[in-house]
Amino acid sequence: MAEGVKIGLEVHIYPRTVSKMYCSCSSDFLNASPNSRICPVCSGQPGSKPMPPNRRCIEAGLMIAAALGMSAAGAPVRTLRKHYFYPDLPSNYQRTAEPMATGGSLHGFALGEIHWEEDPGQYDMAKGRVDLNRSGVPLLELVTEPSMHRPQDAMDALDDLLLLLQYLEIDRRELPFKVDTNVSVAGGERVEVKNINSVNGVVRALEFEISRQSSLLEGGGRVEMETRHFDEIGGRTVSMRYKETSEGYRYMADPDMLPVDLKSVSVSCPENPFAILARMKDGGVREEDARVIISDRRLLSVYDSAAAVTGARFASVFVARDIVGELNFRKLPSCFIDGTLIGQLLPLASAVHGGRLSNSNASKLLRSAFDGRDIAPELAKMEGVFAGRDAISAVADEVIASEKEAVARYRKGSSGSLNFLVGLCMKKLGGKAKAGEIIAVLRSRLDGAGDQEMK
Amino acid sequence: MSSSHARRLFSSRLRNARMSQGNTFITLSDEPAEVPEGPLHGVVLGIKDNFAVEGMRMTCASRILDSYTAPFDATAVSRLKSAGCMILGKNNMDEFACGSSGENSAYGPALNPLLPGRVAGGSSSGSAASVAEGLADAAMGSDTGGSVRCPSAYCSVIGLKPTYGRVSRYGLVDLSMSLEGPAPMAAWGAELTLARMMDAVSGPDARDQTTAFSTRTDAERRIDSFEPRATKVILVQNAVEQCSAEVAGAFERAISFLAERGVSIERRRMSSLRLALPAYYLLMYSEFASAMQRFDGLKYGRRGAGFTPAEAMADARSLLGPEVRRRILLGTYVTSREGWSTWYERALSAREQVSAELTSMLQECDYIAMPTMPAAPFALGERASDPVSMYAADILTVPANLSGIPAGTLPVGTGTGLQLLAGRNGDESIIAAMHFFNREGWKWRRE
Repeated sequence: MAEGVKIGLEVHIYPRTVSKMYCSCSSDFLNASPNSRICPVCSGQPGSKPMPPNRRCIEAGLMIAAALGMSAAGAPVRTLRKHYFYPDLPSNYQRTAEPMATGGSLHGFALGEIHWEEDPGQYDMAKGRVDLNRSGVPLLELVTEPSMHRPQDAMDALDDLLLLLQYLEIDRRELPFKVDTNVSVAGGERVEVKNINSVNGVVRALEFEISRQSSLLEGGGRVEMETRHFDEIGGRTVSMRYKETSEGYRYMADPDMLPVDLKSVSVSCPENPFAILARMKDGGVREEDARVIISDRRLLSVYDSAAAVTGARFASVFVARDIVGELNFRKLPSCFIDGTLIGQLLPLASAVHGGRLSNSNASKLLRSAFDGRDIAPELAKMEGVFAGRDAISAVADEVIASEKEAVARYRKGSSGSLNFLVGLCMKKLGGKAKAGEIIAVLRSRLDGAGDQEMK
Repeated sequence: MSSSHARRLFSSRLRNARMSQGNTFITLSDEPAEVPEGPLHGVVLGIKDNFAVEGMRMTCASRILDSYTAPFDATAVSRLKSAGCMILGKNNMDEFACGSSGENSAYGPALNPLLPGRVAGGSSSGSAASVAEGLADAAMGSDTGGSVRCPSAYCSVIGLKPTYGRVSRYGLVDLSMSLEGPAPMAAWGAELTLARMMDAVSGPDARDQTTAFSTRTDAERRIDSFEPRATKVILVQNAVEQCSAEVAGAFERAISFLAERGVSIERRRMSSLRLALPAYYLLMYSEFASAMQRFDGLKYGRRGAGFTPAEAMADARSLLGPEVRRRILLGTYVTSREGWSTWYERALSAREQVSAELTSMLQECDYIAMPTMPAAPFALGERASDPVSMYAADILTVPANLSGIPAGTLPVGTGTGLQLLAGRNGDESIIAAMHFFNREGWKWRRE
């Protein structure tokens, strides 16, 4: 590997918005005939003026910034005009905001800033046609410092970013981001590779560039500052043009835009995966297992139920290895694990954790559960006596009294909360109860639905 | 006025406009199908050709937009339409509003109906001249550095540059976005029409962010609110000193008219006045170069008419007049790395100084008064080869644009105007002052 490699990323994230950045046209440019989602604003008609920036985009940017430990700008954020000529840029300037937050890190790599901007349209050079459906679509550009040294670093960082976007639920799943990357090796200038659409593409482009630049230098050549294009199919980069300096863009504050005071934008952030990861590691979970679990929100939900019964460490192994192993073996997606299956798995986990079941019996029962069989009778035989209806009722009452929040969430329709309550009851009963019975008792207590069945 | 009466009026004005030799319109309208009721019902209006009127050609007096049809209505236009106005046509102007004489039009200059052989003023040349000629009752122009007040003075009509942000600029083609806005003009004696136009077009518009915190004017109701004995005017002495004897004389006559009726007058010097022109021109060039970036020959111009894209791009700038090209080049330079700190940042700071001085003067008085233009209109062609002398004529109008405050002009002689500036949102009080002159029998023509 070459010496003194420095890698920086500019990630353009497509936030999930209904409309474009500065007008009310739909931002869904992928599913529309050319130039059907345009108006005087996003087609740059003379006399048109931008509307205030898309609120949802700014909120999404602030959520990302908060999750990555970035500090939001204190002063109102101005929108700048970046001037350059291109057929797909209707006004020949792009509106791009000053940083809305700076600092922070992604997978331990230092970040520079994040800002919002508008996407240009799409130019088909071969046909000489321009489609402006994409013109004005909101983008968030997250810029890292040149803090990475290996292609693997870039991959880790982008993996973490994808994970974050999945949890924040703010990206467009069909098109999460496109990446520009800057890479230099010791003794050479910085080269920018533009418009890479996948994590895999970034890694290949970086590997190609590092090797290309190193060979150039070893052969006595020089690496000039330039912009290159990544050829996804050929796996190579091709020179596009020499990089304009930032002064060449004649940045100036857009007189048609009011600065945005970020203090007037409030966002509520769901728990982000890095916080969950930290919490799991504090509970003794190995990072490797924790990452398997948080990479999939369904698995995380199973883990949370199991951890309530068995504790973090045991539950993480049970989910990340036993359950995931079973899913992989059967080539099943995690959504195969439904409420019924969870009801089977929790007593099983509890029994193993409580030492009342051998590992080989546990494996057998796990497979049976995945086969769709009711394992409760066999589990009961293997581990002894189950708790009776009275004991379950007493425990259910205790749990309902102490877990008011989960009860409230359940009443609002959260089925995950029921799993959580079942898990707690199961724990208090030492795993010696049928999940189905606990569910019936909880339901009769919580919504009366079970009463009819009981009679 | 009945709707059929309004339509007959419109038809006769349309006939007159077709026969006129004044070159005040680039495009004339069709007969209106219906005329909505409203406070401006039946008012025949000229619209400067840099406002978008849906379905009408919009040239900005430039060959590059010769075949361009606007796909939407400017906010000011749609509001005037729903208030009952009838649009007679699109007025001639200086190309992309670049000029103070009306001579920089690809369609030839609009002619001054009061002073044959003299310029009509600019850039809203055709708007002022069509009102002075009696073709239009009123007009909507735009004022970036005096573009409404200059031709209003030269053609002896009234004109108001409103408070920046009080009238939506949506649909007004950019010259210098931080300085300009729609600005109404009307015949002398028609202050009520001017007031109603302001009441119709002003107030917030979701399509122009600078209007977000504005209020609608209340000019019609407050038209009689000028109280001479409770009014103080500061007269800018060094502005008067820059004027021709003819202009200074007419101006002083109007000031005496006010003083005789009990208005208190104080003479002051404005020290930042010398900064106003360079600050204005540098900022305007910079914003204009940015705004004109889109006219690259591919998106507008002659592509497709037998031109390849490369030819169209090479050809694009030849479709623009020399003054427009000059401003684009200068603006590109001012905002380049070389020009930024030497020119752009200093211009911003000079703008602050002008603005601060005007604001502080207006805390001590109700109006600032000065002549609108330093001299009466010059002869057609006289300054065409001397842009600097052309620019110098804007010295008294640009301060109001730099500070965003309202400023109006009313005739004090043939081709000369009195300019009144007021504090932010003082638009109504300027119209009331114009109305006071009218009510008190002000005679601007020498008899």
